[in-house]
Amino acid sequence: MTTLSRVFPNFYRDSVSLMQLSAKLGALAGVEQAAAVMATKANLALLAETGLVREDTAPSPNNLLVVVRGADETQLEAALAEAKAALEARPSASTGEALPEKARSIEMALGEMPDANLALVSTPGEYAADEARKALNLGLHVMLFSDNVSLEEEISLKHRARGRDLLVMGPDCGTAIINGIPLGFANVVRRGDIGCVAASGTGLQQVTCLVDRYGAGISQAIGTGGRDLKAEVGGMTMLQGIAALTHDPATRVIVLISKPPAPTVADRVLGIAARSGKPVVVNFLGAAPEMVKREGVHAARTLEDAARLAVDLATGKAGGSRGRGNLRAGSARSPDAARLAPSQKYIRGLYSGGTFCYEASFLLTEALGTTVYSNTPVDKRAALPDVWTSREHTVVDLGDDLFTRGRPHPMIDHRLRNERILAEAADPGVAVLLLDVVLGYGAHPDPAAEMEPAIRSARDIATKHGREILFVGSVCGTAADPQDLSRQEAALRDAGVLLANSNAEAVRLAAAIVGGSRPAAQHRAEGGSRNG
Amino acid sequence: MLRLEALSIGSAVPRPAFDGIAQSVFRRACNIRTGDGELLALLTNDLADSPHGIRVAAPAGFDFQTHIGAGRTVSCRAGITRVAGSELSIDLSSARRWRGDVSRFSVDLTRPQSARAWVVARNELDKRLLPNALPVQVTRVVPRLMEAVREQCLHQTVRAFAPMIGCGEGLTPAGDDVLVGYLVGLWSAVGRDRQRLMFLAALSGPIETATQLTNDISCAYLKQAAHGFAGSHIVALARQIAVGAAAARVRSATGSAMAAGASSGPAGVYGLLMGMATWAPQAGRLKAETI
Amino acid sequence: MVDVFRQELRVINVGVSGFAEAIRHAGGHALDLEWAPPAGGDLGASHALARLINRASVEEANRKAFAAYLASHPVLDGIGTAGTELPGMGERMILHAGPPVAWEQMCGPMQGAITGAILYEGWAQDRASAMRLAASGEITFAPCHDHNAVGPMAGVISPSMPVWIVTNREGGNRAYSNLNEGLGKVLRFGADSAEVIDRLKWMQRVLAPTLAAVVARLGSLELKPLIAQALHMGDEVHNRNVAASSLLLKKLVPAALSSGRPQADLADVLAFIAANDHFFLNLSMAACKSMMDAAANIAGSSMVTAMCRNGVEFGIRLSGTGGAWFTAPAPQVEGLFFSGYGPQDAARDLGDSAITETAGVGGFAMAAAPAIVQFIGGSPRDALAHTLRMAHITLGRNNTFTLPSLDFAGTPACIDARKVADTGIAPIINTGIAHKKAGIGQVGAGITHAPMECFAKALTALSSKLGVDEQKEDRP
Repeated sequence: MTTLSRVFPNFYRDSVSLMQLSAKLGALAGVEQAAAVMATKANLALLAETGLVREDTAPSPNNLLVVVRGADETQLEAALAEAKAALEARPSASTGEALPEKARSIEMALGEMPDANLALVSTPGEYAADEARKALNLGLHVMLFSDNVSLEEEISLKHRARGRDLLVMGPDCGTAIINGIPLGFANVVRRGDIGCVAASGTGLQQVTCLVDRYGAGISQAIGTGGRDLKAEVGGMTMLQGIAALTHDPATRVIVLISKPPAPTVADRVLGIAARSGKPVVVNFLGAAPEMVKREGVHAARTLEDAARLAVDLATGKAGGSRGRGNLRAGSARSPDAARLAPSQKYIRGLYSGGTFCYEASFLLTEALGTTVYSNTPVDKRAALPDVWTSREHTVVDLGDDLFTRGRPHPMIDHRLRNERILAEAADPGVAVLLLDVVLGYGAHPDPAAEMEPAIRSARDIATKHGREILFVGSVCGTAADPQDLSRQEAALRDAGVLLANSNAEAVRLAAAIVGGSRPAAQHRAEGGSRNG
Repeated sequence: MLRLEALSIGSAVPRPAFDGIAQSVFRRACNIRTGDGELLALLTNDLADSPHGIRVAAPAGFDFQTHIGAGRTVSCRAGITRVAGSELSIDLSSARRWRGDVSRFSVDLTRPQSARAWVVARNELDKRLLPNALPVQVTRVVPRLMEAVREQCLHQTVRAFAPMIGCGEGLTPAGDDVLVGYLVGLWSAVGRDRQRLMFLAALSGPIETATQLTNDISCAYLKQAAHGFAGSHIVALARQIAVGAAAARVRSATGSAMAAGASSGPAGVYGLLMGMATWAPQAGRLKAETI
Repeated sequence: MVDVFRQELRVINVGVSGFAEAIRHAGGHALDLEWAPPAGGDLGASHALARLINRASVEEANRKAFAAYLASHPVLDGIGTAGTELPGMGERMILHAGPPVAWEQMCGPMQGAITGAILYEGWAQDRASAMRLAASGEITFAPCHDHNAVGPMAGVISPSMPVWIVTNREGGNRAYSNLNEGLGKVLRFGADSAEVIDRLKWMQRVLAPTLAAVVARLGSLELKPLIAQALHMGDEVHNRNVAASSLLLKKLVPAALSSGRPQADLADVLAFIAANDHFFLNLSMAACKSMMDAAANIAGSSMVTAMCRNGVEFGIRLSGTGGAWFTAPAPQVEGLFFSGYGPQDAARDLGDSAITETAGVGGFAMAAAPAIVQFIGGSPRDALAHTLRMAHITLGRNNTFTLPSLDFAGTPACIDARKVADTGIAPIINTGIAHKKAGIGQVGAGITHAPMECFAKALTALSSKLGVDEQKEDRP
């Protein structure tokens, strides 16, 4: 062990700087111990205790002493050189300005943006209600994207919001368009005079996109969250939404979208709607028309109907083109049915949007007159025993919790659906694969490109076994969406997908293929194809 | 953070929420232009209440200019007003609502006490008024204005007050200040007379249109005055006259009203007295004299 | 009526940052939060917090509390004896720093300081019997804070010890602290040798009465102006006290020389004070305590009125929850060590001196003493950043304590527990590091943060105390 030291005469540094230097030197290679001190009596005594200096060293309080101890003298010399450099370095110029702190809470954010008017909350569910409550207390509207918020919290938040004339959109509200700005998973749609209030995100996306496709526009699209129309919640957000649209001069037609609500809630909602003084289109997905019967309220069975009705009402077309309404099996036989093998009888709907799946479910049940299995069935008896394995006619909501645990939503990540496509293709009973493709903010930047390889592989699998799989789908989006509707549709058509303009139309097409499907041989025997 | 408490807010202040931009900032006051095109005023608590004012309990030596720059966003949410990029925030939630509504005062100058009080105020005004405080272009149209109002001719009234708008120097031109006071005077004396009430209501439209011709701050006061709302000093004086208070109190109220604002006080008092006298039968005796 | 349609949409995005990007891409305005679960992830505290944010009764209570703090006027009135002056000080009571702690749990330095105090009081003759006595239950141990006092490091105050008497002239409340023994082997680091006891005795017999006479000669001494001046001279009056101690000495010397006390005593006393760069610390602490006590016990207030540590736990108090302590394990201090020492030697955070940060000085005035930030390898810019960051969790600024390097802005003062939990920004504390073994002394210095758990517990208690009745409030 060697000890080397150096004295810097008349060299003052404060104790903090010296401690820093000691630490720095002690970390150098080959240095076992280091100390940088002003050579006062006290400091020298301290160093003597640890053996770094000799006990009889004369103190010199105005001198700076650096001592290093180690095995290798060369390394110690280097350390001392390092000390010299550090002590003699000029301090670097500092602007002295502190960087602004990024906002860490809603209240802090309001300091930066006092005119904020909405908080979009997408935190983990257990904290989401608290963040929403803070936002309401601070005078902000809330879009509560998060799910896993308790029913009690939802009710409490909505009461609080109502008392303050604030809106709580959610929980589990994935879509809204306020003042033309898409929020969450939403599309870029034309502005116009049709206002929507929806308890379903994809339902809202479909209606707004179709309104855009039909040449009209959206004033506001308000989400209520999936549970708003349960009896316990009483439709508080929907009622507030209807009132807001009633008083909004820019809104001339109101559209309401939801799964069938609790009867008391439906009553209330329809009553308020009827008194609004504006035409109201109501799509209680799959509900019996009698449920919606009310003066001034127009019932729509499908999302497509709702959009078309709304546009007709907004553009003043009386009656206009009414929706297709019920499907009847075998009404229009599709020529594509001829491409199927006898074993191929079934439709498999693989959906990323829950509402599309739901719509397909009740439409197909009606059209085909048989059970349509699903993981989110309208009728409990149609529940799929194993959600990973389809049977007969099956429509699956791949966005359901069972599938999304630990992975992103299928609108963002296509892997699960692509795998399922291949699995279905291997099933000889499958005739049609029914798909939805959702564009807009939040969705995958190029869904067609994601799906194309799987579609091709599926075809290959079927071809190997002498079958052809028919892909039927619809794209929910607009030309102004980041993914560009026309490019996506073109790419999908190139991949051989039969595209309809809406989910309902796609379902009708699928039903026509399968419902009118007869063995190809028998068909030919009956004297040629009929291009119906 | 610097959190101040608002002590009182005028009737025109939307308490829970508003959005605005700082339009002009002074030591003791800051004017905010809201998204609705209205003007709100943050005021230190030594200043008087006004219909669009927010009086703030500011510490000694407080200067709005330290905290707010013109053009900054100033918004209120859930009763808390914040200034973008500043530590300043003002809590409106426990502020008392101040209503400066003179329409129920029913000043009746046929009552001897009120007439006396009016004369005391007039004399006090004359005594304290500095020469050239009121531009002659303004004072000479007042008789015509009073005549047109008495005849309830909307068209004539508008023609009469037109030259007053924007006329004069100062943050709020003297012509505007006189008109503000005049309108407040009219409202304080309208009582329950249906005809007169309807006339005043009809007058508010043209007034609002005319305010486009002057600056935002005057505009705000004029719009309030067109509906009978005014600042606390002028309201206090109107009340003293309405109840026929003792001379000393009237003099004191006149003094306070004249001291209000940088230069608007005397013009406002003058206008108030003329407005009050418009419908009085003995207007001939009380009417404007050349100053 | 929901009003948002007439305004331009301006969104605060809480959670997935992609949503804010999308809004901006679509031509809207969005501000993205750097969000993290509040209150360190404590769900109960998160619920409580949500009910306290912008709650009228809390805002008003905080306004009152802050006003009382600002208006406080701490003045040094004199020197007294702990047993006589401190309210509730029992005959067999020994006070200590930090929240309540049992003898068995106490850290080394604190146990050492207590045995030292027992020997000083003459309740035992040697360390072994002192320790037996301490463990016997015959002596009551209590936090200094619970008796209007504060003490640095072990913070041990026993009945015979002299104390500073500080009065808040505005509110009338009093605060006390012991006198600083100096550096080296001292009681507050747990030394209990004869040298330490002898010094304590000298302080009792000579220092105290001499100082009492000197202060009486002065009349009284206003402490805020002195602290304010020291902040302009490189002190932050927690870890750096040399300017304040010098200013104090300046005041004392003329009064001393005309006090009529024996020359020898004066010489010893003034030399003693002059040799100790931290002599003012205890007075700084007492002043800060009196300022915070002025704001205490205001129902509904979420203002932090005390932060302290006992080497085992860190404790805080809120104005709205009175004397209740909310504790969490005391943190390690991040810093630099004197030669020969390292983190393995360090005691956990110890002392009542965090009352300085509580009152808006110390770490909250770090911009006044940038050299300190070098303890954690920072630059003067970091010192400013630390101070500015504290502005996000405080109720306001103390414009008596201004910071030249921040354009003479006042120090951020009066921590709002809600903001701490909501932002995740914990109060910063500048502090010395004691050796974990009794009697060795200071081994380093650095920076630490108050544990989030304390604030989580405090907010839950405050919410509970306010009896927040949601059902009633949600539906007016």
